[in-house]
Amino acid sequence: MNEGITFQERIAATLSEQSSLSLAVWGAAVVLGVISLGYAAVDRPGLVIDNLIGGFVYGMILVLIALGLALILGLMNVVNFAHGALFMAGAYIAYHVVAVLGLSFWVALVVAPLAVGVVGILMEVLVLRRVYGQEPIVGLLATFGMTLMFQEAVRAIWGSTPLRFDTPALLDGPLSLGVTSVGKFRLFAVAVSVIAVVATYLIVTRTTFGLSVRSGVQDPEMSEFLGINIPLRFTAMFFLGATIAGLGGVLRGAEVGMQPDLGASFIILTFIVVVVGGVGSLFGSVVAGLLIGEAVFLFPLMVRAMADLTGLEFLAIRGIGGLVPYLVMIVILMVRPRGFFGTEGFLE
Amino acid sequence: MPERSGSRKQARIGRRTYIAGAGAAALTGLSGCLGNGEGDDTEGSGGDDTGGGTTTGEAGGGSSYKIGVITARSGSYSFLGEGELQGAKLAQKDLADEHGVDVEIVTADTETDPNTGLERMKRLVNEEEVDAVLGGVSSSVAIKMGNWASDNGVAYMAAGSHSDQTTGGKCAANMFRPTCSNSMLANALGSQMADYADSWYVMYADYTWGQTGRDAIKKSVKAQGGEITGEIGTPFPSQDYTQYLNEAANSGAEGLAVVIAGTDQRIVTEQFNDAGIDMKMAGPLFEESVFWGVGKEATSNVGVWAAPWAASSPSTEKGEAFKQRIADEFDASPFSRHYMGYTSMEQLVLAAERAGSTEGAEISAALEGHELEAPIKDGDVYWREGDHQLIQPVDTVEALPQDEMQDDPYKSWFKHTSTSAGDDVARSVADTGCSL
Repeated sequence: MNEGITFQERIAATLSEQSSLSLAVWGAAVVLGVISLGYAAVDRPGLVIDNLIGGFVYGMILVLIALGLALILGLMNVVNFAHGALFMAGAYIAYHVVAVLGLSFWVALVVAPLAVGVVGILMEVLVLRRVYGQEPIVGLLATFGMTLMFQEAVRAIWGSTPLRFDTPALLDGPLSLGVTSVGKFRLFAVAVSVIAVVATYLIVTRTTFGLSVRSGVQDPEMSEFLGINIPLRFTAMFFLGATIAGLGGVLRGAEVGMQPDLGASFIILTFIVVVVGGVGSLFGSVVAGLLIGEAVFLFPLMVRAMADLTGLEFLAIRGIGGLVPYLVMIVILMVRPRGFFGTEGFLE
Repeated sequence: MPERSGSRKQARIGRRTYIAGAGAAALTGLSGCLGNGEGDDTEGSGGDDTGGGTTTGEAGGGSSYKIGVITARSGSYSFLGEGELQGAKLAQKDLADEHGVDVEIVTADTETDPNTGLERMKRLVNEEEVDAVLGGVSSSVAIKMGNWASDNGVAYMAAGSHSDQTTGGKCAANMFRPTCSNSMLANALGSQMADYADSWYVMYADYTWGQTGRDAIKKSVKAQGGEITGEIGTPFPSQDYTQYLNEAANSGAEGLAVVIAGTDQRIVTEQFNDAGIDMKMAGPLFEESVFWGVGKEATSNVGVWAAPWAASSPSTEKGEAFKQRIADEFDASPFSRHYMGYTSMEQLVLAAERAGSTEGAEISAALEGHELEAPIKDGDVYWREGDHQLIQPVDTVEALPQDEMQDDPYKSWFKHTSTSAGDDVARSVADTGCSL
């Protein structure tokens, strides 16, 4: 028996032991990952490059969709389940502008997000203001209810048959990047995502408006004492978040078309991006989106490489790509439960 | 209205609360509530309402039935489910006009989930007391529902299930398949694929239908002297297929066989075209409506497909009229799901009429070996006794050039390229693994 060791010392020793073990496990995982990715790069270099670029593009698309959700969550403390419905609405309104009204895609790219932003204002003013201050589950249920309403409204107006609209010839087809080709429209979506992320960041951090919003988040009472109209500013931020969701919908609808469950297919993934990035952190969502995008594209290659290296065929789990976002979330939450940049407060 | 200002007590969402809420939302969403979560709704026959009338032996002119149409009304397959329902409604009208039979339709949404489908099936049978059931888009869902229905003495038409398992290892005494099996489609397509490209890479939806489709395609292409260079299963549904398309593009194969259905098939096609992948394309399950969502330009490059039925399929006089009637009745273009829904409803009810009973076993007996008197397809069409497969001609189609695609009075963007007799492409009953 270690009679000379105090209880505190035993606890410290156990923690140290566990910490060392944990470090060893994670270290081994990283080494295995690097080896398998390296092997894949040697074995199938073209495919690894294709997937590296494809993962980045996919990640940026996820970022654009998650951005509005992260913004509304970070500012308003509302888990906006209707974010997917706003995303879907962007696609359908763009369809209406281009295919029904016969206007240009560029008009739709501006009009549809703004229209979705207006819908967002109505949501915030008519519904969400009534649930502020209540348990978060109330807001979640309210936005979930609105999601169903949006879906059925879309079904009633445009039907359930998949729809699409034309994009300018300029954005059609592939663009050769030397080592691989990527659809021009996907690259365009990446460019729009970058602009949206930068613009949102600047609005929140570099403008007086953004400053007043942040002050309202941190201390609404004092902000109002200073004459800032907090409800108006929060409504404006909801408009911004909804507009970004609408923009994502326009781009997605233009790329692969739309159907009434368009938003539903993305909303869970978007929540994962926000969780991994850290609740309330815009920057975290960007990092998480890119990480998940790359992981979805590269992880299947890595497990394939591991199976080839070891001869253990069962390692190459079929369809593992679809599970990767969930695996990333589990791993990140185990290592860092608050996500990458999740801290109390906004943009910290 | 609660004021936001001054609300220091405003609930702040902590990480744990958010994750718990998001988790709850995810579970809710994944369980299907995102779709048309509403349960069932009744669609009257348009004639005298039966008030839930079931027939127990007094069939004949003037009899009435309550038929459940359970299919995907929400989610990735909802537009296919809508086609099945429209086809069933047209058959309902014809049964009233031509046979004096009154049919009440009760609908339910499977939400493309086997457990939800089973729960809705139980509700239709136990609470709505339907006489028989038809519908289903996803094979996993249809097989689960069909086996339960069969075990409980209810006749079920797996209207849109194409997995070989439906009339193979998972066949059931009272379950019937009015559409083609994967192997019928793949065998009809095999020679076309071998002529079209020497080597193929197979991309398939990783569930029952996709897996049996993959096997059938591989077997058929190899039998025709073609080469299979590789395969990849994809989660279904997926938001993005570019990583799988990258695999295909790097496989060195000349052609890509796509065994993916619904709106996901459309995403594959769009991303295939956008990435400029230099491969030919083919697939064993042609759903014309999928390509309407892709557009004419992209569709003109999608290659050869096997079709359970298509607007360009050679049809009987009744079949040609059927195409126009779909357009007139529903302001829609006819496609395979209309055919499946119509045939399912017509065959169930007429079998019940012949049997003079709505008992599953009696309806089954009336269907087994029965040859259709007035089929939509042109050729021999009959119910095979050993596995409950509707043996029927199988067509292949190829995309038309853009300027030859028809939009009026209904869309028809593909030309018919071949027809194989059902008996020539169907597996023998012994090979199906079905033992009834």
